Amino acid sequence: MEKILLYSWTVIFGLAFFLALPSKTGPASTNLAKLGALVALGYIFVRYYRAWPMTPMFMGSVAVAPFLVIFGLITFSKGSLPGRNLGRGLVFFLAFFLGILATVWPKDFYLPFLKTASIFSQAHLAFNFLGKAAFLISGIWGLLALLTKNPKADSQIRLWLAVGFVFWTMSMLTGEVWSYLGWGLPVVWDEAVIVCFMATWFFYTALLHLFLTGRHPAIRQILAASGLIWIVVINILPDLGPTRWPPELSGLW
Amino acid sequence: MATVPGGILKLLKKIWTVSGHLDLAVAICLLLAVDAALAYPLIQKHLTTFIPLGEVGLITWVTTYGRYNLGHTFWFYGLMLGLILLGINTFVCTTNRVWAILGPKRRRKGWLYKLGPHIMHYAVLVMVSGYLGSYTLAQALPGRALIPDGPPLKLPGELGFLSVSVENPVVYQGQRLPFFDNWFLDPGFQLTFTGPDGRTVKKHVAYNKPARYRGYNFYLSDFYPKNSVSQGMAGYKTVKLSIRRDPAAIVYMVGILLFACGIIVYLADLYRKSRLTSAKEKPHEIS
Amino acid sequence: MKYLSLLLILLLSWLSLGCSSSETQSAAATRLELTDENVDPQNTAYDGSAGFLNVGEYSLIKKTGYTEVHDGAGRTMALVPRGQPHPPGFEPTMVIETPVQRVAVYSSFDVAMLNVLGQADTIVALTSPPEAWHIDYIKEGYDSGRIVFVGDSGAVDYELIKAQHPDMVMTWDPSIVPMMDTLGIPVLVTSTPVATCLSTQIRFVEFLAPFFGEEEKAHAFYGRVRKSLADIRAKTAGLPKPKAMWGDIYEKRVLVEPGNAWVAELIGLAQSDYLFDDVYGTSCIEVSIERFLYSGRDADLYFTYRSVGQGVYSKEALLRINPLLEGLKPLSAEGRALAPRPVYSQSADRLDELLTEIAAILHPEAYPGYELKYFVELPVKDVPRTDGES
Repeated sequence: MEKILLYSWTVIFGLAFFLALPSKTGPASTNLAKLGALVALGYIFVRYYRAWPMTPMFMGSVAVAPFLVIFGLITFSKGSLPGRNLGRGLVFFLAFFLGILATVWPKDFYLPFLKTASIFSQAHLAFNFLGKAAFLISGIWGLLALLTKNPKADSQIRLWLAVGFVFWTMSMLTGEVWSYLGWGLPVVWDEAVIVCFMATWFFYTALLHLFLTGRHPAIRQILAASGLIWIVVINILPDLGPTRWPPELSGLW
Repeated sequence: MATVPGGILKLLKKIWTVSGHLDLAVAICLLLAVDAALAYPLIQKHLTTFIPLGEVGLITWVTTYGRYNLGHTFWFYGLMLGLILLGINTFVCTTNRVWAILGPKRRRKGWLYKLGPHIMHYAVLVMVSGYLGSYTLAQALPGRALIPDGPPLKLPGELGFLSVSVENPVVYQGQRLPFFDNWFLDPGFQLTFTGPDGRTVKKHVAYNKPARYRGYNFYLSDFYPKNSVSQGMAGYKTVKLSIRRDPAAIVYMVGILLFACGIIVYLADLYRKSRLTSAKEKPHEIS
Repeated sequence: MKYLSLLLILLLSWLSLGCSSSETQSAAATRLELTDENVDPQNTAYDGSAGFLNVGEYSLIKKTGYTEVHDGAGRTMALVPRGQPHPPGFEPTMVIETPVQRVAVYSSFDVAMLNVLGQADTIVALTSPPEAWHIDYIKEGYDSGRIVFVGDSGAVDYELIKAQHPDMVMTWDPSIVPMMDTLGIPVLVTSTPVATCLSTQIRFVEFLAPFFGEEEKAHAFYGRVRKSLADIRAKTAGLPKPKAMWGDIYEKRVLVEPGNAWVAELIGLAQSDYLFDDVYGTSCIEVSIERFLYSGRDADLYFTYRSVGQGVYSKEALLRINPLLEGLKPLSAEGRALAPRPVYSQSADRLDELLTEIAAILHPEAYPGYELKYFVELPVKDVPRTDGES
């Protein structure tokens, strides 16, 4: 069931991306993306349903896709900023890319463990993928700012940076509360990925300060765009499993 | 009363200004980001070096595990140095700005809304101090294991004795995770504390639900058997507790709350500004 | 901006300095870097002068008048020379007097490590009956009456253990700790929540040595195993990489050796691909059945947990126990499946031979004429038993 949903939303986002390229098929691509987001939310629901009351494992990257698309549709559907279509196309491409990653390099074979049965663990994960989605949107706006030189892009970068930062911080804080309740420590060093959380928090703290204070416009736009690479390398790649090519088809029907 | 020479005062002022510079904050944050990112493969490859950090405390860890494994722990010293520098920078920078808002005769309408980011900055300082306190001051009693309904464990000092019983365990009975059938979700451990005066106190302990007694927290770190039907490899019913007294926990918890308050104030300020902007734009739109 | 640039340069230089100086330090560090041929085994020893030794999750920290021990369960204990006062803050069962003279042992690995240290005669109680042992020094211990079988690990007779007056119990089962506390017997937990890596597997004996004052023998063992590892690397270098997996399917559960386990590291070292290399965690970690079967379709070699003593004599027998294994390539006529002999788990004192044998299984072309001693390559169909193993 999960696999059918995963493959479906990946294909749908792929189609949405290809349709987003020519301007005539823009509305169709948006509708497809909405359908893809629904299917992806269904996929997340099934993963949660299976693991409940524990937290599903290694969902932090694959669950980003629908929220990325929802945020993308919000930010790139309004107004008449130059690069809006390109932005939407990039969003669909990233969602498709995340689906490909989850299909070819899945990490869905770890079984949940009892200590993840906590509201704070659930919140930690949920804020995590919301934060990643918002950071990716700010990265896309950063790229658009560099490509289109649109001065209005700056305020959008700042907005999505702030949204992402709030989610990310909430993810870290709920993680700390979970850690305190479960182990009695503010930081548990049992998982290397803890430093990836910290690294991203520091990276976006620096970036947010540059934007909020209006300092170094060129540097901050480059950094905002490079946030796309940062999130993929530091926060998405560690969530990937071994190569599974061709994708597993047996047992789907 | 001796006066501070003008030159020294000037130098102090310069140091104060430089140490609170925003570019410094950005540079430190970026370097901390690089430092933490470098740490990922090192921790992943040498996880067992870092796990004892919580158990033995920061000072012992730094002088033992950290010192003798510098090949993969150097980044931790960088992290500490960076955090210290960032702490100083944040304190100076935030204090300057708060002073500008709250200083004598400087309060303007809506001053509270402007404090949102500064509350967050102070909250980070409080949290980091709390972590430092937790890793240096926390007292971890040697991990203890007990048998349910077995002999009581003598706790140090005035804590008296501790025994464990089982009441109303919760067992997983869904079909969604076949291998989890009959596993305990909550093994239902009741801790009974008997003080030196003979008074007893009962507390429930489970994963993520520590029991608190006389300043100590009792965490359930493991138990056997995990399955209510088969015993598995471990032969005996056992409860493994981690017992900690962490006077600094309250500090970082306050920091977390303070940070959340800062976010709320900041969001309220954004909302207020957007209301003000739309109120200003409306007459213009009508005209 | 100038502050920004200056600081970036300064701190990046510091980071790079940190990297280079750390390389120098690592030569004297206590961990074994398997890729570094030049590590002097002497440098890795705990002799009290360095004041600290850590082997995986185990550690020894020198304190005034005693040595603090952190065992596999993260418990803190004290090692005290016999007759010396006990340090304050430690319950009597958390203090072990050295040299240890009488030991009750659960795991065959620990038994083998005691043999490495020349301390097999300190064993006074075991949780496997005499007939389960295939090594002479244990058989002799049973015959002489020095060693007593105290019951299966799941149902130990505590009175029998107490009657043997052990100085400590070495166990993989932390669930016995409270009962041993009541009997006043210190327990050393020799299993860890995370699977033992190759370095820890080799160096665990160094952690154990100060309990018996046998550091020199630990160094000798370490040197021997290191040499065998160097030989394996040399012999297998450049060979084509076979794909191997290690695990089993039980009722509703699939357990495998994770990528951080010593066998997985050894497979990697011996120019081979371990198919659960990306899995991290405890030994015998649970994964989804889909993953196990998926990797199995790709594998060239399959090492089962079940030994020949547990009814695994052929691929057919294995499939009878687990029909789900049918999709595994190594269980086809062309594939290779291996089951450990009972003596395998009791021979950790010959770790160099074990490592060499696994390398020879992975690369038979590099070890012509090698005869398996610790594993059995399973035939397709059941064959009449001739080796007398039960």
